[in-house]
Amino acid sequence: MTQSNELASQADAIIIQPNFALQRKLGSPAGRVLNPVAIKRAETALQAIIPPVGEEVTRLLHELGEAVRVRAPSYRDIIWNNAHEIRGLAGTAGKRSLGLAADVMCRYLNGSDSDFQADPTVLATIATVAMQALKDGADEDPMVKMLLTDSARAVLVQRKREGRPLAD
Amino acid sequence: MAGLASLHVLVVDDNPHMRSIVVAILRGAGFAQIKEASDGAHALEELRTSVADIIIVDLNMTPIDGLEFTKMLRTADDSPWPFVPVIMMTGHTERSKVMAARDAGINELVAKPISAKTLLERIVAVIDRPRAYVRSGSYKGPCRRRGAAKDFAGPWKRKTDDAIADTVVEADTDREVHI
Repeated sequence: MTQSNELASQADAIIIQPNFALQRKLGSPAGRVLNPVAIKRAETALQAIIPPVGEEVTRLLHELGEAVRVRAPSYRDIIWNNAHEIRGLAGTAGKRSLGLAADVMCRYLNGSDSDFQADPTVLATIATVAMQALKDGADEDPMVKMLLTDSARAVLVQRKREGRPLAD
Repeated sequence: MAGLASLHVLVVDDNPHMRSIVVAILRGAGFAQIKEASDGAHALEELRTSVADIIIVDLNMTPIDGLEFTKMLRTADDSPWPFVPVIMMTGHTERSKVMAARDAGINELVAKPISAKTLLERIVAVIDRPRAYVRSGSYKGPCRRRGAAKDFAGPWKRKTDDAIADTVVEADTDREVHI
């Protein structure tokens, strides 16, 4: 029994020391293989699939905007789910600000139930910011940055007004 | 066969576009044996019949999310791969979610939107800097004492903690989250 195992057993825990099985299988340290050249190749491969991802982000955003406008039953879940997906995909598709706007939407709805009656003004404001962030060049637009800051602040104010914790 | 082509990677995400992003990064880097699953249940099914050296899993999925999947992988009596490294992807960077992921037994966390550099760095981490595996009454998974080990003064401190603390990687400005 190794020293660390002996110590652990005294506290009813088993420590299995790290093994380098994957490194042996690989035949070298991973850092040597996944080097800057490999990263460059991966980035190039990623560029090739950005157009369809961008189309999906646009589709999700329009569906989100429609849910905000119509507020049909289960609109909260549609908005949160779409915002969540946009948050994950937009940055990769070269729409960083859109990802941030989607994150603001998620932060407003986080911790709420499916039947949550969200404030329509806050929803519409964030959706508008998101549409602005979809435009080309939005990531360098100071107006979009300001809108993002303002909407994030509006979410905090609204959550406080609703008696909800500032973050979930 | 050696090299990246020898490693089996399972990518689990309910969003096909996110899966395509991850697969494109992996294939571009040189991985050849990549399988995909659309949720935790599908992934567990896949693992009963195939090999996995690394699992890359999304947090937010239904019916079995990434946290539950990882817990089942680590703790189920019939789990085929309880020690396999798990890299979790998430758009949730709130502290509570990060802690939940850590406590579920993941090895590394990568915040969305993911980049090729960030994802590949996490893969390097699980291969080149493997962590001790802990089995206790309340937890099964990679050792969680990473960031605070040097200062830890509680009764559970291990003599190996100082060495573990030396492997801590500082977060950089690329919205990376280390647990």
